[in-house]
Amino acid sequence: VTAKCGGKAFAIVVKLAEAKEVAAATAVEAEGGVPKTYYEQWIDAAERIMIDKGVTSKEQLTARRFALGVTGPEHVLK
Amino acid sequence: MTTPARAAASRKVPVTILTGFLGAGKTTLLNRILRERHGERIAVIENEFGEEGIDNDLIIDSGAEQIIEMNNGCICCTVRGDLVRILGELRQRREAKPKAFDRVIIETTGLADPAPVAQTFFIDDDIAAYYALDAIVTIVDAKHAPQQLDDFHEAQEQVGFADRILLSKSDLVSVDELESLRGRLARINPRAPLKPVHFGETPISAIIDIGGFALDSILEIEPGFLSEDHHEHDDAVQSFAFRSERALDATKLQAFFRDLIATHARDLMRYKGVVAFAGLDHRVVFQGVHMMMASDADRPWAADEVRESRLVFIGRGLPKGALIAELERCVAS
Repeated sequence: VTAKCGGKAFAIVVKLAEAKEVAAATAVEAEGGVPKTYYEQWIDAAERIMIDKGVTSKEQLTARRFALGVTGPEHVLK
Repeated sequence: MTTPARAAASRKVPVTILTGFLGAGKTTLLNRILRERHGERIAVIENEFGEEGIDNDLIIDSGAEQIIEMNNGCICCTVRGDLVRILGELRQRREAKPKAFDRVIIETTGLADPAPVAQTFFIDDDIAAYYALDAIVTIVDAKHAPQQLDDFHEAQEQVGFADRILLSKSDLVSVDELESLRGRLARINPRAPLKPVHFGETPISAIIDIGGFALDSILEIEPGFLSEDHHEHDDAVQSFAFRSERALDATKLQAFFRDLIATHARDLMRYKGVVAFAGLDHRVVFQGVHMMMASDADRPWAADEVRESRLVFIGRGLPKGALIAELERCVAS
């Protein structure tokens, strides 16, 4: 599951980069930080970038993670 | 906060599922609506051509119902193969000619299970990208419903799944019979508003733009539902609500739902709620169909607002008492 989410996070950051929202690679690499897995770091960084850019909010991420944590990514209602 | 999501949803083609038991008047209602001068071009998908013809130039017979179990390892994730095919063809037609239609109404057979029809819009990625399921509208025939609810579990399921219930032929029954039926329907499904309809006068607004699957749609619970009056029917499809003015713990509630879905997914038809989580100033809204679920942040709680969590569950034979006891344990300490 982690790898799958990491893949999605990567895709989102690439999309943001395409939309000239961020210089994706540099922004994410610069985050560095605590010893988490590679994928977790990607997700954390992507979330922070999207919150900074006003694409989402901390509250929205917390709320959406509720159903995701129940059903897993395969069963989240689109 | 949900505005961008809603804007994206609004660009999709809205779809209404019209269910109702045999003879309830689905076709009559549909014909009335199609003749109205509402300026909407509506594509109608029918499961079977009935004796009464549909008055529409864009009407498609979906052929035989075709239930497909999705290959994702869960038995309740079924979609309707006939609908996937037809909705795909309609999409091609609309892409070639954008004004071909504005919305789709699916009229199901009297005996259809609404779950695979609804799930088609959430499980199939191509369908989900192009169409947005607005609501399931169920027509209930006031005269024959009591017997049909006794005899056919499908009738109970159609009521349980509904976002709105239209009560037809209510002039053919006594006030007492009508009240008894309304109570019974509310116990099966307390979240779907009940509206008596007279076919000659039903406007298209009765069945479109309901937002039944929109996370931020208002959760209304039928007032009569919470009273524990004596009632003579013990329907298989039932509902229960849980309310709490004490904040809930997100981790505990998540564990509750995981257990609930693991043990009751097939019997859990619809569920919806507004939740106050400890440590979060925004309302969290959620809804689900079987084991598919979505949640999102809604507006912040107002300063003078009672932070009351309200959760409603509709399903077959759910152990109501045990589940409420488990929900009580989700209160944040």
